[in-house]
Amino acid sequence: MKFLVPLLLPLTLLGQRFHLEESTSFTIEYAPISLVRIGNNQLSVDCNNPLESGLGLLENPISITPQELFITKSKHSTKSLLISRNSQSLFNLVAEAQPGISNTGSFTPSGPINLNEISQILLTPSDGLSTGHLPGQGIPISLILHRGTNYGAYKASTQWLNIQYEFL
Amino acid sequence: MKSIYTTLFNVLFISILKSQSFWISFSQNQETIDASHLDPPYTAGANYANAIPLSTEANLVLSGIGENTPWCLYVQRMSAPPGQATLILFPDYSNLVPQQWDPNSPLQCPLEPFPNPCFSGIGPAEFLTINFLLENASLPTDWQLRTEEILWTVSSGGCPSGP
Repeated sequence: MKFLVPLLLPLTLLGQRFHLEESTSFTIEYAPISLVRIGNNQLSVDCNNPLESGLGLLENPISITPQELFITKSKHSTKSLLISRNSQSLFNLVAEAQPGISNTGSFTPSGPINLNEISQILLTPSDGLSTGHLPGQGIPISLILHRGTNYGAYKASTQWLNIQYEFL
Repeated sequence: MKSIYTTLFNVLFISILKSQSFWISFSQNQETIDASHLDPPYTAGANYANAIPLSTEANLVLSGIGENTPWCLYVQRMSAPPGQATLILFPDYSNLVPQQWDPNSPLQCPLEPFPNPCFSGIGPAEFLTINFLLENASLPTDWQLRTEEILWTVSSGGCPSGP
């Protein structure tokens, strides 16, 4: 009998409960994201006839249909969105980002900017900005056409202007 | 003499019982979330997708237990990473035969600061794969490097029944 007790002891261990642990770790890195896209590449200008003979066609500034800007900017840096234009333009343009509500994050418009070849701050995003990517969700950029130097540019035709947006 | 044999027998038997082993390996130690994880991908204006499947996977090996021994895998977050995103774990049942797991085994388990049952297994597991899903990541809150420290626990007995 004495012999049986220690012999049977291992059998009781068959039903032994076990508890095993292991620790691991891995990292998730968010890469910086800076994306900007123009929603509408073609804008139009409605130019009324002068009220009196002798008046110029462009005595007053003329509004152009707004351009829509879509932005995704992660929170890694506070780089601003700059705007500039090429040097070949025949007319003067003033651009301004309109305040609005974004999908996430926010932005601070810098006010009206007289476009030239030098990059200027259009807006500064903050808090991880995503405007939304569907039409109507972007940031409206109002563009105002000022009196130009070459009236030949203001005929009913398509004019090309290279506007550059960049994060710097 | 008898007692010597008995002691030897016990030591041998117990050493066999103690040969249970459990380890986890990861396919990679770092995951990068970038513009390809936006919804739609690489699209200005978009935020991160609500659910991002990670390419990182964990492979679990459990050996030294009886063929019919039920066990439960628990997972627990041991760190407090920045951001609002949550990590969900998905056992991959496709590589397993039905005899290797309890039909009531969880389909998914969120990584939380307390042990969560994640897989209810039966017998040794030679290669159990756990996949990861990052949920609710958002640009304003999720941008800092996060380290996921996970405590994996295997306990005898199946997982507790779900609600």
